[in-house]
Amino acid sequence: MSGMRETLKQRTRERILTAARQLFAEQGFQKTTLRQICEAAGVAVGSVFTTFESKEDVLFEIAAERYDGLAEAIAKDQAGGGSARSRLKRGFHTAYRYEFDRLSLLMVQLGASWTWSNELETRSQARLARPFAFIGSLIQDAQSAGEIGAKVDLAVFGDMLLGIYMRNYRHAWFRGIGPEDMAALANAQIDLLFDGACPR
Amino acid sequence: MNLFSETAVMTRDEQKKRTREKVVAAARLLFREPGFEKTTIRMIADVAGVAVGSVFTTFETKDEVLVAVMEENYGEIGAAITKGLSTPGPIADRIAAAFEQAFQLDFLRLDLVLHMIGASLTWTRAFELKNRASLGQAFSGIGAALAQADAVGELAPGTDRFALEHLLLGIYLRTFRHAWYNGLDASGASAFAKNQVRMVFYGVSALPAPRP
Repeated sequence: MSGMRETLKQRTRERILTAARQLFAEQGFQKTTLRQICEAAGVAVGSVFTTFESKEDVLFEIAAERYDGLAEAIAKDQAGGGSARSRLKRGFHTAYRYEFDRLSLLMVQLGASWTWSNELETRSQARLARPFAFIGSLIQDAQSAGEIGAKVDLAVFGDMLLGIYMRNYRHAWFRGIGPEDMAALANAQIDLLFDGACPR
Repeated sequence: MNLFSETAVMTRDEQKKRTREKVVAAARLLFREPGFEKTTIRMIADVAGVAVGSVFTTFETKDEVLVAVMEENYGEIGAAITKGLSTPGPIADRIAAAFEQAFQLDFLRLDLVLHMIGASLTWTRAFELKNRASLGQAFSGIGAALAQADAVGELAPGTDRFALEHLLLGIYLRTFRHAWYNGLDASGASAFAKNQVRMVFYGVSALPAPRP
């Protein structure tokens, strides 16, 4: 019996996500209301709240569904090997190309991420960890191999790399640049992080 | 007749300016209590003693009112950054000191700073340019300090100063997020940012041991 309830809940969830995906694409995130999503999905307005805490949460789930594909694309480009520096550059480039077609929704998601709940932030970090797990293992190996200094705090370094990755979406949005130019910006910043701005 | 209409125009401008001031003052109070989320444009209009419609003649959205409230602090933040940059020491430490000075002020209204950064990811390009111009003024000291450091050989020849400046600004902004979700205060945030600023200047390939 509870299995059936789970199936029903799952089906409602799928319908909500499908409707939301279409509405966000057609009329944008801001103009779409939860009521519209429910109407398009053919579910009661109340039932959306049993699965999602807010409209931002719905958006987040739509985005998160793509992370498996992103993780796969990155894993494929990482198979080429090379230095940590070059593999980071390749990984970001791949991610920019993969994500670029949904830039406007991504900006909404990034914007919401500054003020959403702690619970959503924790979930977001867990989901994002999957495609970007390569960063952690990459820099750890690089430290063992001496490409990264022994004193570097890898948690902070990894967070900075993610920060570089994210921030370039802002440049893309406001300056109208594409994934290739975003990758070029990221490359310059990654080089700075490895070499340092001060003379040796 | 000419004189009369000119006076009328001035009065209208004057009136608009006064309305704007009242709205911003009311918003500043309300954003403190009950807070940004719970404040509506209607509440701002009520406290300011103006019609709801006249709020909208000056500000299109609540986000724009927020920026107007925050803009009033840009001068102070610019001065704090200048103060931090004027501490003696290598460029990395001076940048870190500038961020520390700015955090002292920013952390008084951390919630509003976060709302503003969040809003800034989705506002219009025109608004972004406008805000970048006024905020850029406050942060212009950073770019000038980097140029000066470059001139005296404190930066490696050929350093991409554009990338460097953006990397540093990214550290500054992202630290707010880290502080918010991890419950850091201004000094915790300053230490977090300083660690990263040192990485950028000294490079992770050969980072020297932290100075005592």
